Formats: sequence, structure tokens, C-alpha cells
Amino acid sequence: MSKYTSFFLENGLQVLVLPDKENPMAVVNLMYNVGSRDENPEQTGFAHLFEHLMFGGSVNIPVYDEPLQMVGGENNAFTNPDITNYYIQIPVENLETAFWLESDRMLSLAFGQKSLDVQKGVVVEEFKQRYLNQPYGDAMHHLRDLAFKKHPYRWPTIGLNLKHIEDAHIEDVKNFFFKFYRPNNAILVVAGNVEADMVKSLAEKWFGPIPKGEMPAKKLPVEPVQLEARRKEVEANVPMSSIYKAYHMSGRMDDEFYAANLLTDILGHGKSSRLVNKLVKEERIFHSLNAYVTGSTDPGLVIIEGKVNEGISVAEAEKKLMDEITLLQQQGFSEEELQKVKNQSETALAGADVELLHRALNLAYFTLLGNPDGFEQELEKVGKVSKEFLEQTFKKLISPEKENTLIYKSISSN
Amino acid sequence: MLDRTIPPASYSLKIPKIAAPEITKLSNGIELSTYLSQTQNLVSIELVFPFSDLTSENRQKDNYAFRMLLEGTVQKSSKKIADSISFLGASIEISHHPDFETISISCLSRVFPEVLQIMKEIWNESVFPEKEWNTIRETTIQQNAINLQKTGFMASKLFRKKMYGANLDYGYSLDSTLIQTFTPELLQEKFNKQKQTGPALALVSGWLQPDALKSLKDWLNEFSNIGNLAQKSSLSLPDLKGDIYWEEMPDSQQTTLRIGKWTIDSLHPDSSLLNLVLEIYGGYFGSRLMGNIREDKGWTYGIFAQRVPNTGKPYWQIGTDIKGEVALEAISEIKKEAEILRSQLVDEEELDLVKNYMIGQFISSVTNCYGLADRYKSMWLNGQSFERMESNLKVLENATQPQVLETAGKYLSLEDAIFVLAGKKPD
Repeated sequence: MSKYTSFFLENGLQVLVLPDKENPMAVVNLMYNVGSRDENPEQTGFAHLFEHLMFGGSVNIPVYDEPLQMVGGENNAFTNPDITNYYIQIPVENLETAFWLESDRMLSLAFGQKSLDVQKGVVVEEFKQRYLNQPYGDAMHHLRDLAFKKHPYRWPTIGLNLKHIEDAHIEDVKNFFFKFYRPNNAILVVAGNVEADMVKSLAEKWFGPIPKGEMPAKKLPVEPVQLEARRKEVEANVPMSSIYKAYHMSGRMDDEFYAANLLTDILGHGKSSRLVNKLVKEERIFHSLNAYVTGSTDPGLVIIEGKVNEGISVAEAEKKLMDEITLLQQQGFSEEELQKVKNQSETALAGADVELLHRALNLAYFTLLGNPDGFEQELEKVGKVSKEFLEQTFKKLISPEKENTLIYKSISSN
Repeated sequence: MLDRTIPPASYSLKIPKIAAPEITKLSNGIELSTYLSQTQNLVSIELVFPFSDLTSENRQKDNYAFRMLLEGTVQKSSKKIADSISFLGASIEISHHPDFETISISCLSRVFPEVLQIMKEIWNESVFPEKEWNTIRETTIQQNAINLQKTGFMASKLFRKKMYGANLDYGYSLDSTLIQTFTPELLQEKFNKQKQTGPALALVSGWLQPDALKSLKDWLNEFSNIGNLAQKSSLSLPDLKGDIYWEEMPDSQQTTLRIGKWTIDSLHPDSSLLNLVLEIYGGYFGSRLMGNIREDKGWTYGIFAQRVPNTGKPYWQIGTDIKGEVALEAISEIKKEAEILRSQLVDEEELDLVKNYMIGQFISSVTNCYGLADRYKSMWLNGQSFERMESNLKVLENATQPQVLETAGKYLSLEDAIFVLAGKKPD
């Protein structure tokens, strides 16, 4: 893989250049260090609503998409609890158009009332489409609320409720923008058949004049250590009851992250995993089971979730699940199954390195985490997880007094 | 002083010459096509098995027979198969389309020889255990129960049924009735009958060492023959007359809308222009429908129009999940936008924008061997040649305002479409 070069503009914008000589398309990836964890608890969903508003015209350019499409480019964006990421793919000969567009909306937005009103409607429909009009769609709302008491991970990126979105005002939008959308709170990656010198002069030309912002250090509330089990039951018109278990774990840069990630693969990722094999296939207690980590920057969650088969009570299913976990904690794992999940990680990492867009995104994210070489080191870090450390992590993270249990109860069965 | 109101200079796009794969025709009829790139350390292989009996009963039997391949061999249990594949960090996935079954293999290039051994074993020595079949059947039935609560699923189900009828696999959606009639013996028998029939297309992208490629070819050479894609001209399908159908779901918070209309196939001379018209209408973020329904009114998170090729009879469709109260009003707006395209010249700037956007998309889709393979697969399924694809791109590049108007006039009338809604019916 080609090596990147990195430099800072005077206003604090960090720029990284990732060469790929063969590619006719360039990627411009602009990552802002703001996500739903930075929101006011009374105005959740704001970072994501704001992402929508970034397409509603900027101070000198009334429409964002059209000039880009006119030169063969396309773009999109996403928001998660930690970051908001904007990306453009564009034929390399028209690269400067991307600089023009991205820099103008970093300079300032148009802040139109109509754009805000319409995007509130759009986001409300997105909220319904993804979370309310789907069976089990709001489970993560309940589970996050149960597991986190202080840290802003307690609400999902879409927002706590529709009202928070409907209540957003244009003044809030302006404040949010000037607080977070500043060059010294962003990382720009330019990838493709480009030279570092050319990127540098384009970056200075378009982004250089944007004033830096005051960026006080993030003071996010720290989640207190959980001392006793928590439990919540909700009822809904779903065909099967569902059980969700969440346990606190370390943040993205901690060695424990790699162990927890491999652990969830061993427990509940695919047909070859322990819990799926035993409880879905052999004993048919569950219709399906999954284990995964939330993968957040700050300390996140290990989640184990399963839908209970018809004819099995929730209590019985939950007992079987926890008994199986206890048994696995006593027995430990084999070297072979650790190797299996490491091999799966190796393939997944190789897959994440194929598309230029993903390479640019990974470079930006690991730079934000403080280590631009981080993605390159992932495989090594995965490889270093020993069987002992894995088993120790398993016992440390998953124990009865540390669990958060959400029972999503079907009113028609179980 | 930098004037930010003026866009930087831009350059017209050059459509790259698209590389054809290396094609080897085996004596049993299998086409082995490869896009190899030594810089890759992954390999992806798609095996496409066409079927010509398109009734849902038969095609669903094929579907589940193929899915049972991963559930046991003479030597290995279902668990052992899953463990062996996972241990190599590989995946072998089976997917169903009314015209074909696909087996997709992907792994690190260096472990391909071992993955191929597993693939050969599950094909040559497959057994269909009762217990594993019961799990698949029950899981499928429960999945269906979840789907029945989704407006998107229910709308698509009714839509396909109205277009194709439930007897054809194109019209079939997952339900619990048909699958109850299948037994492992029946599925095994179905599979055994076609065990000698190989994939019509084996498409390789990524990297394989020459000896690994030779092993793949040796295996493919063991098949006796191949299946063919069905001849579609004989299908008798209903005329559509602008009818509205409701799937009432009183508890839903949104309504799913699907609109469909029969149209031309990819080999028709107007095909490229129709793609352009549909792109303007509802194919991209700045389309007429997105502009009206999402960006002006805020009624939806998204709305799209697209052509659906390689199905029994090609159609184009519109889909959206929309605020329930305005679903019928949205239909009027959708009709209105179609009529505008059919009666007024598209603005020159808009036309240029959409053409450039589509060309950019095209360039973007073929930047590496995997993208090239995807494109080739769809050409292969549509029976499209490289010459045809290139001439289609030329037509797109040179398309004029009157051509757009004429094409919209021919193909965009919604008089003979169907309108399917799933959600809470307004009073």
C-alpha cells in the first residue's frame, strides 16, 4: 500500500495525501471531529440533522450537489456517535471542484429557514423508516438508555425522539456550526492519482483563508463503573420476543478492544460461532443470535442479542444463554478457534483495503484517533491477542453484576 | 482575492476503454472468465447456475437444495463445514434469483486451494440431513413472520404478485406454505438430478496463482453440461391498467409505495436513452422526484426510479417509504413529474449534469478488477456485448433534449402502470 504524506495548514486543518496512481477517480474525505456524543442531552439527533443541512447550500454556492454532478462527481456523508464524515468521489482531472465545494461549506452555510424546515421533515421520515416502522427498530434506543447513565452514548445518533428533531431552531444550527465545523476540528484526506505538492497548493488556496475556531478540549461525561445489574422490559407487537445483553468495554485504542472484538466473533458471529451453533442450531432455543461490539471511540459495549423461538419462554431462553456463557467461561477456548477468528479478521481487513474510498476513510479515522498508521497496524494488534488475554477479557467484561438486559417482549407469543 | 462564487475550471470526462475479461470456453460449455490483478491478495469467484423452469415451486426447490449444500457431506457435519470455511477466513455464500442460483466464494488468494477442496466436497459428497433442514425451514418461517410486519416487504410481495402471479418465481416472495411441502429427500433428489450440470459462468476477480486457477478449471471440467437461461418471450403476463392495490397495515407509521410498468430490455436501441430519462426522473440524489417529494416537501427520506432488467419481463419501478397521510397525494406528484418530462424539453444544463453524473458513475464503477467483474456479470446476464455497451455510452454522451422528450413520451406514461401501497389506508 502506498504511503501517505501529512501536513497542517496554518488554521489547523490537517491534510493527508494518499497516492494511488492507477485510479481515474480521486477521493476527497473530510472528517469532522463531532458526533452525537457532542450533543446537548436536550437536543439529541442534532449532529445528524446538521449533516443533512450541510447539503442545503453554502455562503457562496446556492446548491451543493449540482456543480459536483456536473463534473462527474458524487458524494455522501454519515454521522455516528463519534464523527461526521463527508466524502466525494470525482474524476481526478476535476479535483479542484471538490476543494471549492467543501471549503465553501466549511467557511459558512447559507442557513436557510426553508432548508431547515424541509430537512427536519426528511429526518423525521428517516427516523420512522429505520427505527419506528421496523419490528424491533427501537431496541437500541432502550438498550443504550439502560447501559449508559452519564455518557452521551446513551442516545442513538438519530436522536432520542422525534420531538428533539422537530424542535431544532436556526439559531441552534448556527451555533453548532461555528462551534464544531472549523478547520482545526477536521481532517482532510485526498486520495488518488495526485501529487502532494498539488494537493498542498489547492488546500492552501481553498481552505487556507478559513479562520480557525476556538476548540476547547472535549469534556465528555465519563460513564461511572456499573456496580449492579440493570434490567428493562418493553412489550411490542412483534412475532418473537428478543433478549439483548449489553456489557461495558474499553475504547477503540485499548488492547481490550481487539480481544472483545475477537470474543464476540467466537461467541456469536455466523454459523461456526459457539452460541449460534449450540443455541440456534443444536438446541433451537433461539431463532437467531448475534454478538458484536459497538466499536466506538470512547468505551462502548459488547452486545449479545437473540430472538427467542416460539414455544420457548423468555426466562428459559435467557437462562440457557447465560448458562452457556458461564460454561464457556469455565472451559475456555481452543487455540484453533482463536486462530479461526483471527483469520476471519485478516480477510476482513484485506477487504477493507480494496476500495480507495475505504482506505481514505480509514486513514482519516485513525488520524483522528491520533495514529495515522493505525489501520496498517490492525492486523498485528489482532494477531497479538493471546488465548489467556481473550479468556481473561471474557471473564472481566461479562459477569452477572455488569449486565444490562433488555427484554423486548412479544405480546403475542413466548 | 479568491472569488468563491466562480467554480474552478473543469474538464470534460473521458470514458475509459473497458477491458474485457480473459475468457476460456470449456468443452462442457462453461465460460470461465477472469479479471486477474497481481496487486490483489483476495479472490472472489461467482458461479452462476441458470435454470429454465421458472415456476416458483421448482425454483424454490432449487433454492433450498442449493442452500442445503452447506449443511452436510458424507464426511462433515454442518458445523464442521462452517468451521472449515471460517478457519480459512473464507466465505461460501449461496444466493437465489428467479433465473439462477449463485455460489459466491471469497477468500485470501493464498488459501484458495483449500477452499476449493471444501467447495468440491460440498458439491460432490453432499448429504441433506433432516435436522438441518428442519432448522432452515423453521428459521425461514419465523423470518417470514417478522417480514409480515414490514411495509417494505408487504408492498414488494403484493407488487410482484400483481406483476407476475405467484406461480412464477418472479412473483414469489418468501412465505410459509410452499416450504412446508419440501422434504430433505425431495431436495436431495432435485439436486442429484442436476449435479452434473455446471455453472454456465464462472467469473473470477482478484488474484489466483496459475496453478490455483488450473485447479479451478480442472474442477469445472468435471461437469458434463450447463443450464441455460430461460427464453422469456413465451411468458404470458398481465396488462397493467393503472390500478391501485392496498395492503392495509393499520399499525404502520409509514406507507411503502411501489409503482411498476413493463418496459424494454437492455438490448433495445432505446435502452440507453431510457436509462437517462429514468435517471433524470428519479435515479440520483438531485432527480426530479427527490427534488419534489424529498427536498421540497420533506415527505420521505428517499424516492427512486430505476429499470429492473434480467427478470422475466423487464420493467421499471418507483419505490419510496413515505408519510402515510400524503401517500395518494404523492402518487399525483409522481404522475405530474412524469407528465412534465413527457411534455417539456429538459433544460440543457440539467441534461448535461445528468449525463456527466452518469459517466462519472460509470468510470467509478470500473476502477478495479472487482468492479469490472460486476459489470461483466450484468452484461453477461443481459446478453450484452462490449460493442453494445460502448455504443450505449456513445448514445448517452450525445443525447439531446428532443431525444429525452421523445423517450419520456414513449416510455414514461403511468396510464399502464400499477400502484401498490402497504400501510395505513387514509380515511
